[in-house]
Amino acid sequence: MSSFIFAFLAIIGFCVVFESPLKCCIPASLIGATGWIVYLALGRENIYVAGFMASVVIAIFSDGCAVWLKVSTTSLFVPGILPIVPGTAIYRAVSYFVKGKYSAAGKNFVDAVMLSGSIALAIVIVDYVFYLIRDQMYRGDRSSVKCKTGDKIDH
Amino acid sequence: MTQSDYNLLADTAILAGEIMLKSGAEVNRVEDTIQRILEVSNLKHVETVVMGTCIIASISNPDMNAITVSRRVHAETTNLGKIDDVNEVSRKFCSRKISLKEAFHQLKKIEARRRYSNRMHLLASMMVAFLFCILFGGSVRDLLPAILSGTSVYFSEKICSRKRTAAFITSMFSAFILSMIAFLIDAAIPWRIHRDEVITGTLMLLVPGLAITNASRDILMSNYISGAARLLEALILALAVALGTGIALFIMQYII
Repeated sequence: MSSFIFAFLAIIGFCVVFESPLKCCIPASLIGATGWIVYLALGRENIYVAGFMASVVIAIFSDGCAVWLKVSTTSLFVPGILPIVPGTAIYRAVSYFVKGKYSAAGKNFVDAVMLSGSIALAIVIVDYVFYLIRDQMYRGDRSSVKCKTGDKIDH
Repeated sequence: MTQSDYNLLADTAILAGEIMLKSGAEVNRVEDTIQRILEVSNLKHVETVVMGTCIIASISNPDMNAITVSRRVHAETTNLGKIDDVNEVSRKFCSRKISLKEAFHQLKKIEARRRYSNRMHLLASMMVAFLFCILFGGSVRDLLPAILSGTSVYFSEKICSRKRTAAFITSMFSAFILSMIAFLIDAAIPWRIHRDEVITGTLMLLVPGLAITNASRDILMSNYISGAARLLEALILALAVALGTGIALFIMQYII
């Protein structure tokens, strides 16, 4: 529970750093904190699977909320995903490398790359599903936005 | 519509695209927004090309001269709010709720606006550094070093953006400074701190989360050139962070 609260507050901080809109801060933080809990819960066995599942959860919620709040998915997703981005693995890789422990450094480097890969994979899958859904929903919408020929833009 | 109206339309569209691309939107979204704004003109040919750092938009009709506008875009700091604001304006304009001139003025306003003050940014940097330090296994005793290294990231990024250094150098410099500060404080204060957690917590301010996200979105939407560029950006920024931290660790290994 405490890690949920800390993750929530940390992501609010990120929302400010990235200047995301005020109405996005709370939803983004809730989504991100949920993802972090998923990551912690699954992370003991396999961090790649944990990273993937957490990213999927964050991506689904932020895609859903983006439609609801009429904001871009990015402004909900990016602050939320940051706890999972492998900063720790990068640091450990460097620190082992400096100490001369190359195999440990290599393992952490692979972790970092794989974790980024699993985040990317989750984004690709979830986004594509939502893209297809949105395409179905708004198929008629786009042609109605286009105006008839000869219409004038008023000043 | 007269020729000057078309000119203004093209300017508006490209301004919208420029703000979005600068603030860190994915290429597909930028292209879509420009296309939608230009399609309001109802001309026969409306073409938009957006790549990592440039925008080219063109409108033409058989009975008029083509209008083509291109813009070189220099990346700025991430600003998710501006992307949404521009989206809002383009949505209003395309559904004819606001006029073209109004849309242009609103975009100009968005370009200049900042949502949060400097003090808020500084506070947020401290908050992120400390809270991530705790999330990664630190404790309340790390409050002072985390806050100081968060502050150092804020100021070193500020200095670098004023000197207009490349993103690589900015990240490397910030990572170097924050690691040095964490090490120095660890040596200076009497109680034990979780030095590694402090550094990783503060590093989270520098990791390329947005670049990874955008790279996968761009590649998904078949914008391979921009996607590959973003992927490289993510890789280079991560490398810069690693290099900055590594240099600091290497120096400190000999001193302490």
